[in-house]
Amino acid sequence: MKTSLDQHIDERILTLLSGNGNRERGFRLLMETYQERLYWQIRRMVHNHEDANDVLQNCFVKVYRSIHQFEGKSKLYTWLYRIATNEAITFINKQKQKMTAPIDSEENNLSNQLKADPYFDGDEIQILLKNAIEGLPDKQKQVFNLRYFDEMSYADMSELLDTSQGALKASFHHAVKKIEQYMKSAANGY
Amino acid sequence: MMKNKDEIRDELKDLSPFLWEQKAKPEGYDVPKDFFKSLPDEVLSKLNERPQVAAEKKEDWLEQIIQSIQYLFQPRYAMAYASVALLLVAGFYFINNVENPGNQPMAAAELLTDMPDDVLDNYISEYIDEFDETILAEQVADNIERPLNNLEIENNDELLDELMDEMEVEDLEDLL
Repeated sequence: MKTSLDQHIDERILTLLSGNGNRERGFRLLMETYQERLYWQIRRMVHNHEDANDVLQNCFVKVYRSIHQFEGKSKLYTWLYRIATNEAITFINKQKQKMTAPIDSEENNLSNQLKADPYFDGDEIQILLKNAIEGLPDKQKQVFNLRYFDEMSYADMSELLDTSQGALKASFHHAVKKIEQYMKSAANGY
Repeated sequence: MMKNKDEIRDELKDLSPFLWEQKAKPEGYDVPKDFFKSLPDEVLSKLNERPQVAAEKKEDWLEQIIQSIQYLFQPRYAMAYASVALLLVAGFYFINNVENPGNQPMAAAELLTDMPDDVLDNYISEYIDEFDETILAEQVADNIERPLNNLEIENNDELLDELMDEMEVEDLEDLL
């Protein structure tokens, strides 16, 4: 049901974007449809609101300029998700280059960053969870975020990440165990 | 749809009741009021400022190069580069001296090759008393033996044939 609705909206967006004089309307519809999903996906990667806002805006500028390259072989969201993920990864790498502090203090950096963000009001357990997720390998991190926060099915995730459902399931199970272990050992340390 | 969500939550509950409990709490992230309402206008106005965007892009490119250079010259890397540079210079100096230990004698040999024979003869005559007698004796012996030692038996026959062809009959009779 949702898939057919998504398809209908995607078709409408692409028709507007390809038509003369409707490009801005089409792009506005694209942003209104996908901005929240993309924002949360980026926010979970970069953590800070201002950074997430910058990355999302850059992502939309890129989408606007390269929408003609979308061939329609995948869902529009899959294409947007990949652009947003690449933008966020580029941003994170730039941030890492700017950092002069040793890598082993990354955990403290994230805790301090979250505490300093006026748009974060989570407690210590939430900060601990973010730190645990941050410690996962990139692919596991993506899978965990999509399953735990977005509650995405393995079928949709398989298309999005171009990975078999079995591998995604194994990846999610590993991630859950690692996070649980991390949080329990950190809680015992308090 | 709801069935899917329930299945996902059940899976998490089975895997980790602890994380399943945490999921009930809000994530902790928040956004400014009306953020999503104003975002499309903000992006569209950014897109309408095209020349400025192009300039920013150029700045980004420059900034990226500067950042990369700064990253490479951080103190922890600078020390490593300095050590490597020092080792390379020392290695180059060492190899040059080891590979060519007889720099000066080689130059002297080249100098002697270029020197005219009469200058050498004069020098030897003037300082003949200072040469080691044993070395001189060996040198003389070498000069006498060398033509015979260098000739092989097969070559001797060929040489004799050639000489015979070149000689006049009268010369040959004189020799015999």
